[in-house]
Amino acid sequence: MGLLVRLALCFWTGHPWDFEVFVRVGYYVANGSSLFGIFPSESYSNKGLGQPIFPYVTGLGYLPAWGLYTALAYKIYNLFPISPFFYYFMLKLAPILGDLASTYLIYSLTLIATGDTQRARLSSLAFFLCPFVIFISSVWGMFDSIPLAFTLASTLLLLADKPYLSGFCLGMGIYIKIVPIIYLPIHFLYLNGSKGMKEALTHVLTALVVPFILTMIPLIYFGWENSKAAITIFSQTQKTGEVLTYWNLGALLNALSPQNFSAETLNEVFSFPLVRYLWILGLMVGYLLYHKLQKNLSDDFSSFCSLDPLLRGYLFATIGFLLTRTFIPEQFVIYLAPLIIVQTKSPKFKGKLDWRHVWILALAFAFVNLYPFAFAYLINPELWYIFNYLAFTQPYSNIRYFARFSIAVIFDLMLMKILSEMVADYGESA
Amino acid sequence: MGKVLNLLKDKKTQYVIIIWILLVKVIEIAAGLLANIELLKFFVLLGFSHLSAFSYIVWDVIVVFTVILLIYRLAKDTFQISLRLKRPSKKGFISIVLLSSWAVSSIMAVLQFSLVASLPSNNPRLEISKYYMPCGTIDNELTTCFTINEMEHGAEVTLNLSKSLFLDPFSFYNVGEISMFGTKDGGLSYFAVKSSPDGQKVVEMRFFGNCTDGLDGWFANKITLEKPLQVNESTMLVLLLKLEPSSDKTAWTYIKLGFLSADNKVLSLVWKFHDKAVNSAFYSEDQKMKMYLLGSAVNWTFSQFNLYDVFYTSFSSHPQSLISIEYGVGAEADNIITANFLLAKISDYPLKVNGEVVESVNPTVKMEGFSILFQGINVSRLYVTLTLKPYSEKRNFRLCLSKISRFEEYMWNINVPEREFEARIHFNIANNSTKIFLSGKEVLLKAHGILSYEIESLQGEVTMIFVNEVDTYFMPIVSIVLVPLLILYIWRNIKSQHEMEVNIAFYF
Repeated sequence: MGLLVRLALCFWTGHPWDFEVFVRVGYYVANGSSLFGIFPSESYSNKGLGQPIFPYVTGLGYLPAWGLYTALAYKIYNLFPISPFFYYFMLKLAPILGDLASTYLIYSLTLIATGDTQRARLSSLAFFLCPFVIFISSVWGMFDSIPLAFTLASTLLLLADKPYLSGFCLGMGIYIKIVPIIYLPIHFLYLNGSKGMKEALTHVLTALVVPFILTMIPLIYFGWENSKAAITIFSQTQKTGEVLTYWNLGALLNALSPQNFSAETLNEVFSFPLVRYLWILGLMVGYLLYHKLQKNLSDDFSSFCSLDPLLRGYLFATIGFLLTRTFIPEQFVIYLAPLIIVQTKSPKFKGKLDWRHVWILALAFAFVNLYPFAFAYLINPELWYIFNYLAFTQPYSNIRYFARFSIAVIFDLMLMKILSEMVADYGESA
Repeated sequence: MGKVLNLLKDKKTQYVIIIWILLVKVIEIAAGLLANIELLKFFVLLGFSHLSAFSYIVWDVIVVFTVILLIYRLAKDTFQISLRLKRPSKKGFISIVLLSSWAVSSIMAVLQFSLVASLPSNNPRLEISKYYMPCGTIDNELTTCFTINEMEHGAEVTLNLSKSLFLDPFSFYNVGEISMFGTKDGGLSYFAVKSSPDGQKVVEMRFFGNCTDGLDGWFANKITLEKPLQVNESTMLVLLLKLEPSSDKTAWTYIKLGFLSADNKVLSLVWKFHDKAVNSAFYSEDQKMKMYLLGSAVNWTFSQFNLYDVFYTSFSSHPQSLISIEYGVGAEADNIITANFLLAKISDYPLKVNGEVVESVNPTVKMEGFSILFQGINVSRLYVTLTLKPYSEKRNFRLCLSKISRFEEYMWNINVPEREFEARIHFNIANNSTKIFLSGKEVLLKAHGILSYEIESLQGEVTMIFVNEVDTYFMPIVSIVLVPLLILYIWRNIKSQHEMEVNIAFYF
């Protein structure tokens, strides 16, 4: 059922910016262009691919994995150029497979946590049939389920006492999208406590060397400029306060009073060192909470090495990151899914966590941020222009900015509640 | 609020915050150091070089307080050293207030002085530009020679190719097969060769869109060569062009060369310029055309390519001959765009000046003697800019009770006959309040951000003075209010101490 819905939605929908970037990157990279360029609409839109709604789009702010996949998708489409929809389908295929892999891994992890196949089935279905997960991979076209699957595989291998293979898997996750790197210190603390410093360091080194080597190979082979690649990736640390975070207050204030809250003033705030790197503090707090949990469990080695504290560690780091980074795209919520779903199925868990609340808010935000009809821009570019008019014309824009801010604040408050619930649950789990 | 304050008072929280702030500082320092290495310049993105002066001061103050807090915490937690402040007496309190006011005002005055002292130099450059006529040709007229007479000033020499006059700037400029899309009817889009008042030839191409938003339109002129032009290992394409920007950053212009390869395939190379910095290269789907997107050309842009090399790099095959040339211009159809070519030349030699291959529209020339040797394309008038070094440079400061001033003085000698040249001074004003005096008269810049000034009929000695001043509100407190108070206070203290000593002596 989940697969059918995905297949029915995937080939004609996409995020007007992100998916358009993927479509163009695939076309240009397959035709010899560098992954880290700027891609114009002319010369490719005449071939019926994508829509010329943006004259130019920038390259990807990721390591090369996804860009290379988009080029591969285009090459396959070029072998069988039935219709551009086939190309869009190929681009969505990998995230859908990522969903499937994550579902299977959630099943395995829940089975480890509960020993109950029924619970495992329910938790994997809670992920696979979740409308938000379906929306992100097969409507938006975002591929976070792939690094998520690699991260979950890395966790399974960690529990199966295979730290090096686990490091390789996490490295692959980082290579596809850099976000899973936030779990590396959790793995380090886990391995340092359970197996020793040598294994912990080797794991960390493997997880870092794998994406580094896999990045350097295409850069050297295709002669792409290292500096352009680094600039594209490093620019991710300079994002202003946007999307699913209370920091989008800046956009609301700018809309209400552009004189007092000009783009320059807001840029000054968001580039201030302690605002720009606040996420480091968020992650530090997350790691410290995990370390404290480890100390509470230090007397009981089997509990120490079990899945439950590891998942809590991931949750602390993820929430710390989501609460402090100034740019939180909706798809980052996907990383919370398995952590909350598996935790709530665990018999040890006594809290009131509910994954439904999280995804409903995230989906509501996504639909306020970009109205649902705009995702059909591949069928008719006018849908994008209608959204563009409504989103940036008074008074509709102010309503949108206010709704965005309100939902983001509720979402962040909920994350804080989850965090405090998990911290309060320390003693019981020990 | 109370909970937050309690959390902040917590020792562990303080350590976490200290480590976080110091970590961010380490990122800044490391990024700055790595960015100094040419290959790792991109690390500058992780640092804070773009911060405003105010933000940077706030950030530095936070770091200093963090270090003080760390020292305090370590002293207390590791060495059990605790600081307990005694409640001061009335006299002690006044002393502390006076001392702190004096310290704060002194620090402020020093800061203000250092702000003025550390303002970047205005660094003016006096440029005189003029046309030079050739003084002869050498190497069977392949090289044109120019003599620069004003070199005794120790000037740097820059050429301006967009103002220079070339004798035969285009290899092909007839109207061939015209194609267009998204254009307005009535010959509003065209390809024409025009002449400037100076006699300079220019290919002008205009795309007049039919006003449709979201539609990509173009105008192109394809010239098929009746006799293919042989391409050898030294055949060059030399381009000098400018593209008018569009309202929505969609404009472009290109030159497309059709080749017959050594194995008799028809293959094409396209050099395309945009009004936005687009740099990329890709093949057409049938792999028979390679397109190079070469960045923005909204200003005059010069480039030259070895056709043999580019062809081989693109198609792993050798070119045999050139069979067609196509000029194109386009944008979204709600634009009117003009592209101008001053050079579009197929040449057997690269354009060189004094032996160096030219890579920009304003090449700087390494002078050996007084001659400029121009090689590759015949030129009838060369527009040369000499940057004269000042013969005197002085910088000094003046401290007044309510003002700190910085003076920068530069002096040049211009010994070029009048009316033959254009003179211009470029400078970087340190801030908007900088006062500028040119040969005794104040220069009033009409708008902020003007960084150059044209000089009219100046001869002989030219003096330029930049003055930066800052009002010092704390200097008077330092010197007028506090000093007499301190003297009075100390004098009274000494007096009462003396009286006390006398009383004690009397008692004994």
